[in-house]
Amino acid sequence: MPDLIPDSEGAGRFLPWVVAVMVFFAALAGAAALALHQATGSWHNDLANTVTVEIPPQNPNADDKARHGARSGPDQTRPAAVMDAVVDALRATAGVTEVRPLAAAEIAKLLQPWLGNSGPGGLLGSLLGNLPLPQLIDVRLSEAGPAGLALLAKRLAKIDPGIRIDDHQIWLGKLIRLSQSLQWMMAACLAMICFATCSVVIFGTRAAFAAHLEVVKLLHVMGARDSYIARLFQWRALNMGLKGGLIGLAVTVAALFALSRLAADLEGPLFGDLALSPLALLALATLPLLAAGLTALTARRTVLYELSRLP
Amino acid sequence: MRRWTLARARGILAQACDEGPWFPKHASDGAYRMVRFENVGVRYGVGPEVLRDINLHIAPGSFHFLTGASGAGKSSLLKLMCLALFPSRGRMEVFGQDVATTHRRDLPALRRRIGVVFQDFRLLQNLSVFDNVALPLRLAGEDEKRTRNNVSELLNWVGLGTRLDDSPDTLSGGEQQRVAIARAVISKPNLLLADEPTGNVDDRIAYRLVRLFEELHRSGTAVVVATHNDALVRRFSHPVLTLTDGILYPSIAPVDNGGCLGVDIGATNRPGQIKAEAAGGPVVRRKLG
Repeated sequence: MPDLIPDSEGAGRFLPWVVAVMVFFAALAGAAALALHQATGSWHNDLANTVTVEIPPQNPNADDKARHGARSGPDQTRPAAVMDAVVDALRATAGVTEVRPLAAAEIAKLLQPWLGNSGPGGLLGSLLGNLPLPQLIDVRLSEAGPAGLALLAKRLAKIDPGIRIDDHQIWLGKLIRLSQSLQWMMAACLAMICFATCSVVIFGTRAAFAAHLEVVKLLHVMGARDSYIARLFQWRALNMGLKGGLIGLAVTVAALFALSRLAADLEGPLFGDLALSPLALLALATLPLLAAGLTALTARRTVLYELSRLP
Repeated sequence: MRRWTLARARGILAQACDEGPWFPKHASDGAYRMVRFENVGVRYGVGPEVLRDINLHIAPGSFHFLTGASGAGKSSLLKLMCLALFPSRGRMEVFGQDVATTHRRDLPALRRRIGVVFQDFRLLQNLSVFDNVALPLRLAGEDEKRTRNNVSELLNWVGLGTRLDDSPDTLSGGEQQRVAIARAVISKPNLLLADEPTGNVDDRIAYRLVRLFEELHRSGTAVVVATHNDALVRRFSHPVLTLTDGILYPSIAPVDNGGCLGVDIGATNRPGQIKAEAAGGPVVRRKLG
């Protein structure tokens, strides 16, 4: 059947470009939401059932001479005996599956984002020996619970009352809440993009309908069903939506590639989790199809509404 | 001056029919009124009524001229008949169905039984001549092979067999008109409506066009031809409906240019209470002078 509604008419020519822009924004919002969702899960998995035991640094006045005499890391600000006692106590505790004291280099690396390079020329390198840093022990539990943690804290307090146990819940909770808020914002962005796309499609379809009103009326009088006429506009919109969606996806791929290169340069402990999984990338790849489907459906509903105003 | 007798007219039509290779063939069902208007009024928006108290019965197989001055409401009446417009008041039945109570999904089937020839042809310029004529059949879901055969045959008959693939805008006005007529009759409609088909042609072509409609009428199609060409109307013996300021009058129809006029039986001349009725049978005429 020849094309009764040519899509080269002026009213609809801009639609693919609008859809392309919308798909680009939707893909960015979707990628951000998926990356945050992924990262939140990753952070949660990493920190769930783990606690960090902090052995506070020794009072600076108590061993000032020793610290000035030896430019050293945090493990030397405290007698090794305390560390050994804590490690032994942890390993003897039921439910503790792994105990790993952090080396000085690892603690320095945690400070790098704030204090810079720990090498000879860096600020951190120059400060490291003078900072009263705690000693840290990563502890993995088979099952974390407030009762178990209280018991552990009580046992460690006998070794040194200053020892703290951080179960990361406060920090993790804030981070997850922030992440979830951002995800909701992204979802709201996607909803607004869908709304804007639908509005543009409705506007464009009405314009196309008005431009082809004589043809529509002719088909109507000849006995064409509303669904038949709607289908003409629907396929036209599907075609344009798909074109626009693919253009938008191509631009998005380029933008995400550039962003991933920038994120790789950051080398932060958190940014590594922001990379998109293959499943998330597949979800983004379906956006042109979703955009085309949304465009076609909106065009169909619009035409059916306009036709309902004809006798 | 020679008068056309019924026998002579039938002879001419029979001869004409035999010459044509393709005609819509269907039995006329006289059990119902094809079109029936009762006190129908039409207004656009909040404007005045453009049609008032129309009472009209069109029987299967009948032939009517519809005359009236420009703006009298001819096009609105034709729009009503082809279901492109619904009445603002009154009762309208098409093919025995009250359009006010007919479900919207059932209206396309009714519309497919009506062929319309528009004054401005309304050919789709992005389609070929063939596709324009094939459109009604395709809308009806007709088999493509049968569509090809019927359309080719009909276009051959109207003398456009060699222009099948041409665009309508490459045709002359007369050729475009033939395409428009072919499109209107390709689906063998029960009712054929022609809106000023003779408006842009000379008298000789206009006469031949009406003869063509008569041939279709003879095969059982009810025909309504809207025209303001009184001279043309006078050359035929068909009943005439006259619209004046939105009111329908069944007027006397000259059967020859010698002063013999034909009038529908059962018609009354009271404005607003008109019943113009033609059953497709012999027209009763009275001689006026």
